[in-house]
Amino acid sequence: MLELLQYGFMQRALMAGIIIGILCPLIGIFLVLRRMSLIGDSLSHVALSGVAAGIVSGVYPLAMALVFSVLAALGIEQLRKKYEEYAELAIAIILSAGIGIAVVLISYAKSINVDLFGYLFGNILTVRSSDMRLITGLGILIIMFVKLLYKELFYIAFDEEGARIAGIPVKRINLFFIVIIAMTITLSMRIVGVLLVSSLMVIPVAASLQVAKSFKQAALLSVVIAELSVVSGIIISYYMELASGGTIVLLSVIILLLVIGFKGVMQKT
Amino acid sequence: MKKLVSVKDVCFGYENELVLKNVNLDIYEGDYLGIVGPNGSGKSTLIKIMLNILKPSKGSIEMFGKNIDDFRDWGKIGYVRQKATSFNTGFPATVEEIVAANLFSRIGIFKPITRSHREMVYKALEIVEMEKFNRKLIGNLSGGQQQKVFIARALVNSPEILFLDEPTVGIDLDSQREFYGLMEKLNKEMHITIVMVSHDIGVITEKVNRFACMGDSRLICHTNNSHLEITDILKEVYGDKMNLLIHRH
Ligand SMILES: Nc1ncnc2c1ncn2[C@@H]1O[C@H](COP(=O)(O)OP(=O)(O)OP(=O)(O)O)[C@@H](O)[C@H]1O
Ligand SMILES: [Mg+2]
Repeated sequence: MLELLQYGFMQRALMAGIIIGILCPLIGIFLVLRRMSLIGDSLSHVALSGVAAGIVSGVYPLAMALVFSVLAALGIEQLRKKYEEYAELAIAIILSAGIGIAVVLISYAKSINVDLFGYLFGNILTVRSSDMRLITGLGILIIMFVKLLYKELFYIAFDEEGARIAGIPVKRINLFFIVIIAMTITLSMRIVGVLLVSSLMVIPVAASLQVAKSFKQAALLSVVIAELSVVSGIIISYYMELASGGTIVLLSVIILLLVIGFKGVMQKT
Repeated sequence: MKKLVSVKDVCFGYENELVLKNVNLDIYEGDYLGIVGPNGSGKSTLIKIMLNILKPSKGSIEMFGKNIDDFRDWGKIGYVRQKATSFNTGFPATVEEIVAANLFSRIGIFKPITRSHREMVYKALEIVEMEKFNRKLIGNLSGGQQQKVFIARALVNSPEILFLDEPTVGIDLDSQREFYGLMEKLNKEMHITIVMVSHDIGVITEKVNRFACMGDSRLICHTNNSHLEITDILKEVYGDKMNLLIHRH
């Protein structure tokens, strides 16, 4: 077990994994409670088109993905404000555009050797030290900010109108929040892949909501569940040569099922 | 007497049809103002306009002497909206967490909740006699208990003015009596100005010191609640069946 840590790539993967294991559920709990889960999905598809654009133009793909997804996030927030009734439609359009651009660019660049599979489903072997610096640096910054804004984000999630009347700068915090979603998705891409990022944001939260007795508990528990899935997922995927994202998400699904089963048994007795 | 809220010539419509037509209303310090009117007459809309949730298409609102857009002192205002209890009942928040939320702007962004804030939460819950439930999940309480929690949330900042939109809906008769007693205490002893929308016309006319009636997008306001005058106004707005209602209490 310990010999695993001798490998540089493994150290990087675990370190990155631990950070996104905090980030994803921490952001995810607000996405779930505000019924915005679809936004995570659509931003991750836009991030993929950023990766493709980076590869085609020779720019560092994660940086490009960051720019693309943050711009899309700002776009969604604008559309959400303007067409409140059709917000879901706007999100779906951005999702489709994202995947469309990604596919076109990737097919254009087919001569270049692209680890597309790794971007789609996560591959721990490909976490480079440049990725590592971005993930730890930006990741820790985001975790700190979210922790500092936690009570405000909580109030907005529970009652947006009430929060506004209570004098909380709802508009600014919403804008900040959606940019943070975009960043989290980009950072998580290497480990869990674009197709599974939003699952890591949603499933640990779904499990913790089954048993939490307060909001604080729900948040902490979802982080614990995500960390369990991420760390054991990375180790298992290494030994069994599986895609890390799939393994991590499957583990979190298993935990979710166990929690639901456990709760069912407890309620009967 | 200090003027806390001033609604000046306000017009508003959601789409084309006007819901409020040239509404004027002044609310003074110490008022206990009851607003009645049939369903859809624009009571909730008027409250939302006063609180800057909706923008009037014409006219203006002043809050504590300031134009509502420049008003920042939201801690002075408590609000319990209509159907406050129709939130996502699966939301994992305790009574304590919900009530504390209204202290956030006072605590300030980036700062944590301290013990003195917890005490304020406890006191607000004591006022509505819900302090024993502080650790319970809000979704696991009864509708009336939830309503009390939202009233506690509105009180936690020790507001100077309290806006309540149909606060007694879904509350049993005993608790309603208690609730009106509480409102009187808040108004008379703690000197909180109260603006209450309600359909309990009998009770309202008995308790309030000012009375406003909405009908046909207009607002008819009266300072005293001399019984005869109110009956006349209500007849105009509700039609003749009003007599029955008003004689019940
Ligand atoms: N969000 C909305 N969009 C469009 N029209 C609305 C909206 N909210 C209210 N209205 C309309 O505005 C009018 C006034 O509504 P409002 O909610 O202010 O009535 P109310 O006096 O509070 O009624 P109630 O006693 O039923 O609560 C109604 O005709 C209603 O249909
Ligand atoms: Mg109403």
